[in-house]
Amino acid sequence: MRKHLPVLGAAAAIVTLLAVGAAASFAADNETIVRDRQAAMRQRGTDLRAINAYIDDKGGDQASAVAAAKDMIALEQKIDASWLPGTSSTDLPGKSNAKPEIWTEMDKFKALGDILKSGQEKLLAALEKGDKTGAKAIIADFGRNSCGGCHTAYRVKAS
Amino acid sequence: MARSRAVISLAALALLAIVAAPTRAALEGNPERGAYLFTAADCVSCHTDVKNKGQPLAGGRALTTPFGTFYGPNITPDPTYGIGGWSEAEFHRALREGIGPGRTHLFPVFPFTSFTGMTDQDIADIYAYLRTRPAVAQPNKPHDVSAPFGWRFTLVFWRLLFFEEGPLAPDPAHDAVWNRGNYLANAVAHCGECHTPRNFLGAMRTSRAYAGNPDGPDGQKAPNITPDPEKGIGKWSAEDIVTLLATGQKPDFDYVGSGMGEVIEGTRGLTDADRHAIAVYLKSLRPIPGS
Repeated sequence: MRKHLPVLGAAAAIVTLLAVGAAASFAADNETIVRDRQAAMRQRGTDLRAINAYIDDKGGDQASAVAAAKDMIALEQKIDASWLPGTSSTDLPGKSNAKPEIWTEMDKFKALGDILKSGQEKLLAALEKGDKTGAKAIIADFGRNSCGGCHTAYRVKAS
Repeated sequence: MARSRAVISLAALALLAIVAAPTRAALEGNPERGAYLFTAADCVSCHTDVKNKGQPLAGGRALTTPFGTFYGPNITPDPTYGIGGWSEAEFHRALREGIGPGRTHLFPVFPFTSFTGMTDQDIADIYAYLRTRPAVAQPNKPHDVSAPFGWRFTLVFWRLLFFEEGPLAPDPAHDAVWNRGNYLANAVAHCGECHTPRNFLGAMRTSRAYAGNPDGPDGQKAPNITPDPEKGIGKWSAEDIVTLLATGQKPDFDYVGSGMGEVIEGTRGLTDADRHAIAVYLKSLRPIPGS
């Protein structure tokens, strides 16, 4: 029996190592998810800048604005899929700024996202028509109700 | 001995401060102007428990601070639970001096340290506006603050050390726009209450005014908004500040959230001229690195 003990011990050690390794790799995966999500959010900001350059007559053109609006819409799917458990500010302190309330109030959170999605569709239509005033009003609306609303309720202040 | 004499004179001074009764005549307030100022001061945020679907201005909103959790009180005109029984003079004293009816010392979590800077007329206008709001019979939640910070009598000394009574005097060295910005930022919108770090007794460290507070309300960081180019908002134009106050959108097209998201709900109701005045004032501050 005693002979088996070191073997058992080694097996236990391997199992433990594997488990720790798996947990660590999950954490690393979640960190990647958070990093990608934040990059996508920043990309959304870059798109909005291109759109505003057009509607505020600050050196932007219609084609770039339309392309940016389409890019924003495509980004939505990526961002939508990123709200996975394990990626909140309590799971990854200092790395994620997503409040854990997102996962306890998912319906409310998704409703805010829907405002943005329908706003982006309307924005694209307005930009395709060259309706700068309309586009401005649409951005103001989703900026307040979706972007600002979501950051107020569900984002931890980062800096 | 010298110390006990100092304590006695402090206590005597405090007593004087308590006994001195307001003598000014009540002013006629304009509720429409009051509504504007009320929005600028963002009173709604602390006095409405939005998170739990509370009635407007009926209180109950929790505000966590390093000293404990305070609950915004009911400021609707309900005579029992709100401030319906307060005279204009009592309301004036609460904002100007931080003293409520019955000589109750108000905790400085209520930013009377800023509101004290308001003009008599502006205070009267806010009072008039509040009288037009629907009354809600909702009792106040007691604050959950640890000793000794929850002891109101200690505020007598706190005030002697840190409170400077207003109103804010216009500065003749600056133009009307700057003075309006100074008045809005410091007396009405009380920006410094969150963006200025506090000492261990919870008073604003005025030497680092607007340099950011790592321990802001609800445990959130309030950023440095002095014109320091690295740590502050020195790279922002006045127009960028106006846009932020109007829409919540930062120059990088991020949108502010947390406490500032609530503040924007107030500042978006300001006129462009007033937002511009705040921007001019903030741009004139001394750049302070850090935070």
